[in-house]
Amino acid sequence: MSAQISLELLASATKKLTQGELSETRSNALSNLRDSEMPSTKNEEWQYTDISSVFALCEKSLHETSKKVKSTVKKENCIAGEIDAHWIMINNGTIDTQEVKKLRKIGVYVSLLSKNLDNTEVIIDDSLSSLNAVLMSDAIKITISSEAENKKPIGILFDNDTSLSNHASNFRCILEVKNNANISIIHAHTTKINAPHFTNSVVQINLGKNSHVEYLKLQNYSPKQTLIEKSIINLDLNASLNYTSVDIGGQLTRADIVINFNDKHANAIINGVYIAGQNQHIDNHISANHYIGSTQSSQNFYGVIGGNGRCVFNGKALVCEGAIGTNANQYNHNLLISENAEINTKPELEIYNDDVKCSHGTTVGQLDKNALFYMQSRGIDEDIAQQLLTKTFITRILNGIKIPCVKNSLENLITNKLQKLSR
Amino acid sequence: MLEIKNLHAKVGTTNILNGLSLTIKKGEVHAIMGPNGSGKSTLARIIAGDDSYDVTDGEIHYKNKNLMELSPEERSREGIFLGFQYPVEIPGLNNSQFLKAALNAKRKYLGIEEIDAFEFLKMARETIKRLEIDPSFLNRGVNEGFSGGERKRNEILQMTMLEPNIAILDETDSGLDIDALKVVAKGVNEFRNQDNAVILVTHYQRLLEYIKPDKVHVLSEGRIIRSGDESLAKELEKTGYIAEKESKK
Amino acid sequence: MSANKEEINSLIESRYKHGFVTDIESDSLPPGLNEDVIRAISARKNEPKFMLDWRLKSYKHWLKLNEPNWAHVDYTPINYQDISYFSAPKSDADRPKSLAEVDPKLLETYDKLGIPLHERARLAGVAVDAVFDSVSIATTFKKKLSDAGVIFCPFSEAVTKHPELIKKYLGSVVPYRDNFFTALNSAVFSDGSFVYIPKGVRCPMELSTYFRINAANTGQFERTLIIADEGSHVSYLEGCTAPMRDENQLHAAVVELVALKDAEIKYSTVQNWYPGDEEGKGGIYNFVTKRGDCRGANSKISWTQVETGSAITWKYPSCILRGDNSIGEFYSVAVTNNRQQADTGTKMIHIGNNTKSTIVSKGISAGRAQNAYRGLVRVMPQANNARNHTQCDSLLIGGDCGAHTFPYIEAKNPSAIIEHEATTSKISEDQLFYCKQRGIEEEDAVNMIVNGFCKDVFKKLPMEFAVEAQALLNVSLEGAVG
Repeated sequence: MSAQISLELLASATKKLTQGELSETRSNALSNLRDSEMPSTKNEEWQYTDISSVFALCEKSLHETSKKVKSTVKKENCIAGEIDAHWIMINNGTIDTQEVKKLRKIGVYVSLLSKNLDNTEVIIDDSLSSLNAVLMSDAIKITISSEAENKKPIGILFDNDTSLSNHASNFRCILEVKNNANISIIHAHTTKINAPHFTNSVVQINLGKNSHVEYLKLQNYSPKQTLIEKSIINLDLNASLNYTSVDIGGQLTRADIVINFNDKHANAIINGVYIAGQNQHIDNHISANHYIGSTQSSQNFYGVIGGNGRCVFNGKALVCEGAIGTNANQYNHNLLISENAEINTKPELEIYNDDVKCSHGTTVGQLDKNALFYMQSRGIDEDIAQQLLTKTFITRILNGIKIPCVKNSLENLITNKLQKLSR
Repeated sequence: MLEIKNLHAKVGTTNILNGLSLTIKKGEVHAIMGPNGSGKSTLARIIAGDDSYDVTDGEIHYKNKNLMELSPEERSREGIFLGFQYPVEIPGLNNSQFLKAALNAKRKYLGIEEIDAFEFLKMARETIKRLEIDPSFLNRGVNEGFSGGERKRNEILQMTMLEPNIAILDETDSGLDIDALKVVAKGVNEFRNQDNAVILVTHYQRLLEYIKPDKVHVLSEGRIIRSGDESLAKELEKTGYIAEKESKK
Repeated sequence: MSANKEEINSLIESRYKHGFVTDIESDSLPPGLNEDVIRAISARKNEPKFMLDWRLKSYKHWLKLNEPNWAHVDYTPINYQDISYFSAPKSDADRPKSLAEVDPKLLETYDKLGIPLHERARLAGVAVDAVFDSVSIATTFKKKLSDAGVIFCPFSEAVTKHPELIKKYLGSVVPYRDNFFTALNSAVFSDGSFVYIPKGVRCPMELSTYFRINAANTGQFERTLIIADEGSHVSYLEGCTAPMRDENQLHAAVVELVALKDAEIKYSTVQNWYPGDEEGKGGIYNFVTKRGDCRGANSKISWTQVETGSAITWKYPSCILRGDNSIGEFYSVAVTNNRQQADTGTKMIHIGNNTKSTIVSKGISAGRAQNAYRGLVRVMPQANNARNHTQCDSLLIGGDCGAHTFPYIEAKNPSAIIEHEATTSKISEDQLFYCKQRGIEEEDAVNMIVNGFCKDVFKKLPMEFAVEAQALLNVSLEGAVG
């Protein structure tokens, strides 16, 4: 294991946490860490994103004595109050039992894996997901039954975990979407902490046959927070996913979204908007793995980068031998709006069969000067014109979000952010 | 010249042609009309030898040969021309290079001396001028960046140059403005003579105002439900295909 | 319409037409690499001390490096102690002064390759610096070039005759420490070409070198250095072909281009080395470092390559756009068939203001081959108004091959405009049916479609090269049907 975090500290920290049916997972994860390296910029996948500082933070958190702090976060303060959804608030690995009961009535079942593992696979396939399994206070499993009601979206709000410390949280959510289910999910990373803080999140989603999921991931952390999130999504026959990632806040954000196409006619749209300003770093890595043919993936990421913001996009499509009739594309468009803004982008295709349709496109550029001038000549202030045009640039992605009740809140967030950027 | 007997065909498990028979003699122009999905394009592509359709029953004879035994390229060299409904783009491949290759493939097959670049260009330029087609056509890639109308004109240019015995024009009129339609009609009218034949596959009567057919057939659910002369097309224009279909039931 | 598998396989097979071994005795060093070998190479070439020192420095650095493994290629490890680092034709002591003195067997070899040296030189007005194994044998049209002040000579000759130019420019674009193979090349390079175009001179003819690899176990380490002084212009052609051989042969060349203010260099390559047999046995390992430095304002460097040969190609002809308004171009066709592997592309490093780069890459993969495009477009913070356009297309023929795209884009200046587009496709059944309906044979149709796919690159090649390239493409893919 890497030098960054002491194994002894990890071992003693994990003992303080709820074990129950998770004890085997935790000890496996700990032994994984013994043999694996934490990512560094020497690693191709991490060459643009240096996360060494978060390990220091993580280590620091392990030195602290356990002091459980009751959540002070009100959902009203972190966008959850604005959006009409069934919010599942997760606090130090626990959930409000009243809420669980309510959800059961609409066909959504929430449980803690420490109490009932029920053969659920807890993925520990790399050092970060192993670290997560060692230090998470619990894992939440949400099962969406075939009959689940889809009048309102399900909101997942992870209220940062203080089981071990106030510097680092580890969160894991497993979403089991049963055959034929149809559901909208909002996953909010919006509880702001005004101190250096590292959230290590793992999301596992399994989409059953013919199921459909609308998914919005919204990240609006404080400028001192770091989020590293790995999402592993499995699609069964004829499953369809419309995933949108919106990254606005945070100091350092890294998302790995892995989509596995495990059967025919599955399709996934993976869209994203990232807006980075001064001292922000946002990195999105997406892999669409087409193991089976007649599947479709489409990645569209739009970025606006101001200040000395730095963004990374790496969209991959893997088409395996025999996966005929695969359709995969990746598009990434970037606006650089200030002197020191930086983008590193790499759309990748790895194709092992000829019966495919794949394409990708990337652009880096500025706002159309003619359009800006046109607007100014109609009396619109330059910075307003800039904001309007920038907003138009990302509208395509926002319009792709099919969860109606989030529109207003999102627009407000984005408008505010763009105002800050142009200032 | 062309005789189709009791043709049955399907794609996958869907039956498309259900016992279609049709006889076309030298010098005739036949119009095959019918609603979308009636099997018009399938018929055209089967005659040209597209093997994505399964012919399950029936025969096609052409110049006393069993057509089904010939490859698509042999059919072409024997004088069958299909004007495609959606002519495909071949980026980077020069139109004149393509046409010359096609022309020489046919000449070689017929044992005629192949044509050289100079002679070909002369011939192509004359044809283009006669058909009132933009000379830039020859230097562009095959249908590359062509509008719908340009593609159809390109099909007519190819037909004229290749001098087939039977030309099947699949929805050649669809998506054309009136000027383009006139160019296409002019090409067809100049092409038709006592020794060749034309099959016009069309959804609308409009094209038939410019190209007078000898016979009009109505296709529905994979077979010909009515045949007549030019007036049948006009009648259809008024009553529509639905009425036609209903009246047959 | 889909042709069945056996049909495809039988059609894809097309044997290497240039496979034969010329029976000329080689005067080679025993296999192995150490300081003594390097001293021996340098001594044989009567090199000045600065050259030997440079070689030894490179060698010492090489010892510290590991072979790179990031490319999308797979091969059995190379034992660098099994390679002989020097081989020259026996008649080295008495070098021919004219073509008439050239070993007739060698001329015959060129004949078989379709390169009738004197004929081609005379008819096409091309000066040919033929490299047979590691030592240059004949250089023609010297007079015409020297009248124009152009220096075009074997690298070893330049080392002794123009040491000031070598000292100034050697390693200035590709430092010996750049990578594993450049360090190796810098230590042991045998020979190559040197070109200097003086200020304001437009080189009166296209310069050309034909490389060949012969003699078993002889790694070939070419070194090419082209300097275009202010306001000059040169077009350089490189073409290669090698005899059939069962053991893998390593080729690790280094090409350095320097374009000063207002100068332009056009560098074209047709590479047709032995690709190995249908099972992937034999074939050349082509691990080449090519880089051009647009050092002066308004300079331009253009790379065009048609890569049809080699078992493994690892090659990224690059441009460093240092001068303001400088232009870099990369046009590439890479064809892989059977078990060939190619990992090729370019790097465009924008440093000066108003720099522009264009990348057009066409990869064609058939059989069980793997073909990867790997490219980097980097806009440095000081590079205002940089422009890049990249078009990167792959064509797959058959279900067992692979095509991969790894484009890295790094923009650190907000005035940059970068566009990257890539597509992957196969020859569509619609296209084939359309051609067949017009009477064209399937094989001809495939050739026509593939040539059309590559047209944007072919039209950048000098005329006679373009013809050769198209012919090569057809041979390489003979009958490969989608």
